[in-house]
Amino acid sequence: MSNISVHDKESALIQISELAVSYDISLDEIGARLTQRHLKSKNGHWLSSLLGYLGAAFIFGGLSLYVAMIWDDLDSFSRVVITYGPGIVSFILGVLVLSDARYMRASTPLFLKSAILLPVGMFVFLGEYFDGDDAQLAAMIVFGLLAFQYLGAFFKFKRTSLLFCGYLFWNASVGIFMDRMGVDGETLGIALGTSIMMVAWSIDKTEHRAIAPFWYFIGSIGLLWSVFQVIEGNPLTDILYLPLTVFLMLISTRMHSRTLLLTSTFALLGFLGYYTEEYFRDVTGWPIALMIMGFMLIGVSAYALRLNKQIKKSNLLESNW
Amino acid sequence: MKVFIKENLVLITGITLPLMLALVFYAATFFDRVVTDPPQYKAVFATRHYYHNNSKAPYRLYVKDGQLRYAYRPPGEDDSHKNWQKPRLYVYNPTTDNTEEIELPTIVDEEVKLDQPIQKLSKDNITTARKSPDGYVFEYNYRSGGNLMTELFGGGSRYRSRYVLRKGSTIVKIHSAQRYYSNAHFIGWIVNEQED
Repeated sequence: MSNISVHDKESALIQISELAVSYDISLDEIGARLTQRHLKSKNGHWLSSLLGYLGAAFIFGGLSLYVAMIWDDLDSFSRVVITYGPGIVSFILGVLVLSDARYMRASTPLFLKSAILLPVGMFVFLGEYFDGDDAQLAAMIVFGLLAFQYLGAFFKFKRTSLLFCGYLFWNASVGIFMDRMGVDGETLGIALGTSIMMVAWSIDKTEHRAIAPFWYFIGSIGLLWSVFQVIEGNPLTDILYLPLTVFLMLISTRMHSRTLLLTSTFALLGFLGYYTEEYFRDVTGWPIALMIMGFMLIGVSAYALRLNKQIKKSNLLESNW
Repeated sequence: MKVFIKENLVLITGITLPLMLALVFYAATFFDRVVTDPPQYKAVFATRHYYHNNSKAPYRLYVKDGQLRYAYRPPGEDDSHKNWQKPRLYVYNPTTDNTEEIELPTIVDEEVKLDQPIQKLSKDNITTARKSPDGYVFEYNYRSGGNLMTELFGGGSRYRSRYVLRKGSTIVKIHSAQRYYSNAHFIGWIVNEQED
């Protein structure tokens, strides 16, 4: 092991990765230890945090109920102000607290709150001042504008919560755009699912990787669901679902994504159930063949895990050089 | 720039893929519209028109000698407990992409029969042919393929089915009829419109 003096974050990371390779420490073990320490240091604060969250939820719920009760007595302008106003105030506050390290952590709930209130306010504005009855077009415009707002703020402030909300709005707007352009449901699902997975892969390589599993989950389910809709009941093509799920399982090891591994494994199991029901309901040999295949898969997975470990080791060493 | 694209190829592909696909579909639709003449004739349709599948319904809209008529008869004793609702009548104008509701006469005495032409359309000639003279049909366009993506990000299943005017692969959406779901009943085409 080389003796690198720790003087900045980068050199610390190099040393940690070297130690991890030398002592065969996995990422999970490091994560578990850090979480334990984090929990220990926060042990006394959990009750106050819980009460704080509960209090915020009650205030938010109470305000929402009050607005609903007086809604009919409000004029159009008041309705817009009472919905859009708190949203934009939350967003501005979220940005303002970023300049003060003491309150920085408050930015995430503020951005999330604004992400709920801003679209509501914009829909109320459109509903009160415009006559059109094309709600889908309104949704596309609202989500599109919000995507630019949140992603624009993300490029400036680099906050994960802004990226999460911005990408959520982006997908909502793009999905509606595709639908309006006449893209059928299955193609929309396949394209958007693939797109989300590709973006999640890119996010996974950045410091914002905390949100990547969520997008892997949404993207892979969307893709697998849509592909299944296309092939279902077609004896010529439905078997192609099998290589797709296996391919996604392979991709999941490449992406180091357990979420993707989970969804593709469940998709594979579901497909085997479908295939059995469809073509081999009364054939005795099929369950036995499945069991043999299962053992083969376990063997392959063990081999893949070993390979994966080797790749990880070589990757870590390469990154140190 | 080249380096940026090379380094972020997956991200760029991921973002542009749905947009490119949407543009391809739009181009296909646009091509259809270019080669097909747009619809010319107004379509008349009604909602809550229960008569077409239940002859006991007291309200009826029908075309006689090219004229749209509105008929009412008191419901029979067996059907009187049903809360029959008056139909709602609409005219869709494809040239302005606008749907106008035509107000039906109010039934003053529910025990008295009524059968009269719709005043607003009394000068127009209406045909009940399924196909308009320029080859369009009024139909419910059910678009299958609803899934997690369409529900979460595609605007929901409500927008996957709507009433349209269709000629071959050319589809003209009746935007204003989205809210009526599957209960719109086609009545006819105004083939010889007379200006008021």
